[in-house]
Amino acid sequence: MGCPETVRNRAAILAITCALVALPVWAQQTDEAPQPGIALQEGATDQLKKAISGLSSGKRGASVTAIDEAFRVLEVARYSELSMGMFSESEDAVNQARRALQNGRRADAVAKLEEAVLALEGSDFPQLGRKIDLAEYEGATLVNAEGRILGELTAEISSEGVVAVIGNWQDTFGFIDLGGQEVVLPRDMIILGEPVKLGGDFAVLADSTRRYAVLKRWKR
Amino acid sequence: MEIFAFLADPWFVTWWYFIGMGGAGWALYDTLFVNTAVNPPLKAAWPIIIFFFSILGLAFYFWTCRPSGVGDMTEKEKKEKHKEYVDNQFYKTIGALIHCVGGDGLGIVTAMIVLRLAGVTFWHEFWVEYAVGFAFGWIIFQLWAFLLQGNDILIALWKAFRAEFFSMASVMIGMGFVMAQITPRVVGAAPPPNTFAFWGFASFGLLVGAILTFPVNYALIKLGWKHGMS
Repeated sequence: MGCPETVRNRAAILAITCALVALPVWAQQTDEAPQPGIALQEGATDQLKKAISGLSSGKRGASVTAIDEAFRVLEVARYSELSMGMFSESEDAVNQARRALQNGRRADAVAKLEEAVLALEGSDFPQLGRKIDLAEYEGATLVNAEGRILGELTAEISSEGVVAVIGNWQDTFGFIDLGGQEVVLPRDMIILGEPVKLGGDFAVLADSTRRYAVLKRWKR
Repeated sequence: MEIFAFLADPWFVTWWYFIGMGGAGWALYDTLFVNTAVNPPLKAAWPIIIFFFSILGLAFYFWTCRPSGVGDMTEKEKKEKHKEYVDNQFYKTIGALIHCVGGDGLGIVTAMIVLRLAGVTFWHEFWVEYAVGFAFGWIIFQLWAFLLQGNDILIALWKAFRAEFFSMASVMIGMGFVMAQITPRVVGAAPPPNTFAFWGFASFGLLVGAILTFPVNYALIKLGWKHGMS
């Protein structure tokens, strides 16, 4: 048994030591990107809400663009979903909303978009995880979690990182790539859509925290 | 973009094509049995134009290709009257435009139906439509017109290619502009053929292409590379 002062000192030293050990771990945890599924869920939901608000307030152009962008994310997420879940349900509703708009039924489109948002917001934690061979995705269009086009995936793909060209003019007129910056993105942040024979393949960079700061660095 | 929303409206699109189909059937009958002096490629092209451009196409047919009282004339009078009627640069240009847009339009929209069902990317669709539209315009409508002018097949193929190259480029610039910049902002990317928007925007895109190709066809006639209405 030591004197009370010595005990207090030991306790303080122990607390400081614990804090010094724990702080980097906590900092690392907060620096980690959220689950890719959440990034996709948030990105698509934001876009769909923007679309609903735009259709209701007469901003049709921005609204329809938001629907298309959300649809890209949902198509990819649906394919990557472990089982039929929120993304499948939401994608079906957005598809029906788009058909309604293409048949002149705006009110029906808004109702379907609201259904799509409900499907995304009313579900549990999204689970993504389909294992896919990256080699099939050379040239796939890369979009952010809100469905905006960033660039395309290139052939140089390693086990941990994915090489992409972002910015400037990719796939201009369908065959010309002008400029852009080559970057390596973490493999676990790239969610891949269904490979298609005739249409373009899509991949989403699930970076909701903007850790890769694509918006600032590449104006995307 | 709200201004273009009517192009996906069922009421508008249904009536537009209802008049277009009726008008196309009537124009086919009229050119075969009444207004018979019209040259054969134009007899094929006018119904296509009227199908897509509906009441506007009909109005243009009456204005530029159908002399009044043609039903009461003899065959010789019809030919003389038609020759006199179309013998000005504006009417000639309209005739050249009808050849061009009729052939290109049929090719483009046919390809568009197939490619939208196949779900290809925008640029794949654009280039295939260009190729199919060009082939329809060159091999069917332009070649036919140049053969009727007494050219042998190789010369006719070359002249038809030259004429089609420039007029098709201008039609496709107009059509491509609508496909890339207007349609996606009004109804989203690539409406499929089973939607009203597909048909509304197909007609509008072709109309923009026709407007753009008018000065090109005017210049081609001035240069003597196209003959125009005859």
